[in-house]
Amino acid sequence: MATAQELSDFLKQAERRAFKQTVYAVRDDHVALDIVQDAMMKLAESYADKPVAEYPMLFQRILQNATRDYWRRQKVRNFWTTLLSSFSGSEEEGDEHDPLETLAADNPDEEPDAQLERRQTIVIIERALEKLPSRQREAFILRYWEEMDVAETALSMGCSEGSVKTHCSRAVHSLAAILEKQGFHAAKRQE
Amino acid sequence: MMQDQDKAKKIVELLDDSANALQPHVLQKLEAGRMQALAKHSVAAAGHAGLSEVLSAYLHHHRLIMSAALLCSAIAVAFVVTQQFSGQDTLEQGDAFLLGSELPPEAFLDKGFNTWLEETSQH
Repeated sequence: MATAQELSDFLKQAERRAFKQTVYAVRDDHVALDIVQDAMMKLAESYADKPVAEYPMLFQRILQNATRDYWRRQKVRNFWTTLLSSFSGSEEEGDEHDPLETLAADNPDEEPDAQLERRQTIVIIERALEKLPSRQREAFILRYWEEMDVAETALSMGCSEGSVKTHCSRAVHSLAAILEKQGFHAAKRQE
Repeated sequence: MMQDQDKAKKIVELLDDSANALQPHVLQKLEAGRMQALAKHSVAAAGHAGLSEVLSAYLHHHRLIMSAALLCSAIAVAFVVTQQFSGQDTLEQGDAFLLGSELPPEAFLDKGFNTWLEETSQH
């Protein structure tokens, strides 16, 4: 059973990535914050008896289910809104979202040109991630950002290991292709 | 495959930069969520405590009542045991009476004997 300190440490190191990951999925900061907060509470309340080693996978499961629930609710809401009124608000989803708003402090040691380029690259990557099919995005984030192995990712996504590899490969190629199309190279900032 | 890993690694570095540059109000809300989660965790953890721990805690908090209950139980057991032994004496006395009597024990089991005894005593 995980102690309060272990839970606190886990949430502290996972919460930022969880928030960003949810923003990519729902394209709304406020909704993403609500989902992450609910997921934290559900993890603490329902899985207090589980060892801390199981928390990353459980937390991801909770986040994914909450995100899917959100989209289901949105779908139902949009259906009724469209049905009842021709002035549907569906265009507001994501159009007003500007990833630049979420970028704050720059590295003061970096040249302004380099800072700008990095910011632009991040914006492009984040927009590309938002546009990826949800399963590809999930696989990429779990496998590479959350550093789960293929088996853990498959377990967390409820699919086969082969599917995880396929999703990951497609996601990486899509992201790399989008970056290159925009004139950025993933390796550029390393040079 | 290795190329995929490298590309992914570089993309993830950029995503990390983005996650590390969250706005203060977002960080505050995440921290508030974490605190609420920790509060829920302590309540849930208390609920998951083992039965033995709960029982020992209960006994500890109700020592006086538990001592009184134990004393009452001991008295009740002693009373039952005493009754058992005294009952055995009565049985032994009954057996001695029957064996020492002029009439055989079978006579007391015979219902006709009681009728005969009543009729004889009336005469």
